[in-house]
Amino acid sequence: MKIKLLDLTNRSDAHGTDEGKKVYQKLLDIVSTNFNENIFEISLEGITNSDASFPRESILSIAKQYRDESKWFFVSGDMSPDMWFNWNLAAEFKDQPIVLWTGDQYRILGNNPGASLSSVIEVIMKDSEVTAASIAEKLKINVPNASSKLKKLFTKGYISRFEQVAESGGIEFVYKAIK
Amino acid sequence: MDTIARLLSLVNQIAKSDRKVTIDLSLSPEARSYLNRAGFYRVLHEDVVIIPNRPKTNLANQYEGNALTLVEFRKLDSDKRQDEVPKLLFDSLTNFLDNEYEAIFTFIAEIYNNVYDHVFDLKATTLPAFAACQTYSRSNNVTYTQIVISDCGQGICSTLRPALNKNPELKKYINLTDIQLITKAFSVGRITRHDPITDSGHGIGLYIGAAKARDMNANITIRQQNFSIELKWKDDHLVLNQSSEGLKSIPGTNICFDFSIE
Repeated sequence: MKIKLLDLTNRSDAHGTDEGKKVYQKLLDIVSTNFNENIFEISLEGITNSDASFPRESILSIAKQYRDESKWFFVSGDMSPDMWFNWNLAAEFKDQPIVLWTGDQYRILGNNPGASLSSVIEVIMKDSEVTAASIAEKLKINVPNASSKLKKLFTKGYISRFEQVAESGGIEFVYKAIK
Repeated sequence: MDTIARLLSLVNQIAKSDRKVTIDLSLSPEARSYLNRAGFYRVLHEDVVIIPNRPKTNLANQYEGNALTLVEFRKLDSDKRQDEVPKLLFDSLTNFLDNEYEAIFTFIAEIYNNVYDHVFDLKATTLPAFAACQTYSRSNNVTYTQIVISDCGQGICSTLRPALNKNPELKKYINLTDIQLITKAFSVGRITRHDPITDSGHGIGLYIGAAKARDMNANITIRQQNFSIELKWKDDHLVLNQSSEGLKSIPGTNICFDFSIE
């Protein structure tokens, strides 16, 4: 589901705790009334400036709140270097990563997951969805190790996760890029 | 501009306490006129007496936004947010500066929001805060700019110190002096009155202000009730460049962002 941030702020400059909390409430209403949706795209179209307090209170807050409840958020559009710095710092302080998609290019705002997990993220972003077995094969690691890395990325909020019936008949997790 | 802001803060607080304040400008007609153009009188407490008198025509209202080098004093009311102010100040400055200096917007927005979040929302004062900018061109092709934001709250340390006992991560800062604590708040971040568990991610405003000072090669001057400090970047570290203690009492916080462009 695509949400245009400008429709929630009504101003091209989005800043401050107060405005962030108001937008958080609006996002909460949207999520609550669209309970069948799992992925929410926040479009930055028309947003020209933003500080760090605004994303902390709005998008990062709701992303952190819902990441254990199978609702994921990502950001799309362009960010100036200044806005990127601010949102990235807010994501670090909030300990809530969020993916920025500009066309088919992605950047992750927030704490760097480390080299070992970053290689897994690269595969997921390219392939869109993976299982522990497919990651193990691609990165030439064993399946338990791949499973552990995917679980870490999911728990920290970098990727989404769904259940599906495996060929064996059991349940397996499919991990997807948030987009 | 920084000096005028401090004067404004002082006389407004004295006037608010029902004492008489008179500013005699009779020997300085140019200063009286400049203060009019800069919006000083529209932010000045109504009980403050100006000699010979307050100008009848408010030049700041009449010509607001017309000057390339001046952003007039703008009152920030305690009971009503004016979230358009950071962008207005930034847009006014980019009439003169290249808009690549976007760091200025972030600095203004973070400090502006700190005033509402940590002064007005805590009901620390009903006196308005204010903000203004001025650029000065010099003959050596260098343009100096000052952005000042001032409030009459309890000061940064009074807001932060109660948290040092409550938050285990901040206990290490308990024995810092006020000057050291403010320097830390700007240089390391995460020093906040908010609960890190239930309300995470705070302590970012002053820290990001300092980061923007690095982008602009700016100095930050912070005037608190009885002291003033200047922070600047040196060899990729934010350092205490100078401090003055034992100053005359001006309750509140006055932050000045000072930079030059060739």
